[in-house]
Amino acid sequence: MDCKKIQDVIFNFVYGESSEAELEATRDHLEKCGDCARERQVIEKLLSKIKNCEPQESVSEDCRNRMLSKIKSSLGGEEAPG
Amino acid sequence: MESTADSRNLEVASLPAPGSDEELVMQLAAGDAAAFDQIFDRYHKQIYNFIRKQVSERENIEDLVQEVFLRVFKSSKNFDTSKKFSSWVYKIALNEVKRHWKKSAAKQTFSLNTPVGDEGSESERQDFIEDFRDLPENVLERENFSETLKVLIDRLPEKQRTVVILKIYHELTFEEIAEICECPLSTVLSRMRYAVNKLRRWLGVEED
Repeated sequence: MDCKKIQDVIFNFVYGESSEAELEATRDHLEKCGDCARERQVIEKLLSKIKNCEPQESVSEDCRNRMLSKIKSSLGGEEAPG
Repeated sequence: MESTADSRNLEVASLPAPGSDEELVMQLAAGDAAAFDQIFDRYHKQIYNFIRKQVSERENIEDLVQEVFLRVFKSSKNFDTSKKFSSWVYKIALNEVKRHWKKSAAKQTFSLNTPVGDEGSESERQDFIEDFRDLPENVLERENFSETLKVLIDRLPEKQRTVVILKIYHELTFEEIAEICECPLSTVLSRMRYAVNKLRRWLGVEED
């Protein structure tokens, strides 16, 4: 694994989706290469900031009921597909 | 005898787990309309938030969510129960969003100049960097960071933005995103990389 290849696999790595072989090779490289290790930290920090800055919006009960009722009225009493 | 038992085992193995999303869709497809309410309750918030991040006109969000679940209802018979329902419903939602973009004159959320390709051209990017040249260095610590970020994410090309939203806010795996976007895994990873690199540059994020 070299610095260029790390760019292709770093997101798999930070999200824990690396294959077994890829995981080991990525870990090895990050232990040896300070630049890539710092790069990984920057990416993780940014992803975490992005994630935390905008929580999911809650959907009110009213909104939920309104949507469900409109869906059912669009179906016009249509039976379930079976 | 043995082969009958084997085939029965195979049949059981291919059935969705009890209480799973996939089982509910099977029940819906078999005519159990009550299963639809359960599916809606499990997924309407996620789909609402996915659509909210993709369209700017708030009044359209509820309509699009309704369209998504109407399609789920009507297409449940076509669902392949060996696949994940979550990927299927996001794929339907993404298609609805695309349909909306096509219909809408103001296709993009914040700017008519938003790059539309996977990567956007260098000149468009350069223009945008110029727009944000005055962002302070500590932008990540600012109270209005979330607003800044929302604008920046909306400025990403559509395909990159979809990957970023599905990955960061909806925590889907890259494999699932590839299935939703109907593209190879390597393309999803590359879109993620381009998007994050752009956000980094635009935000001026570097090592501490």
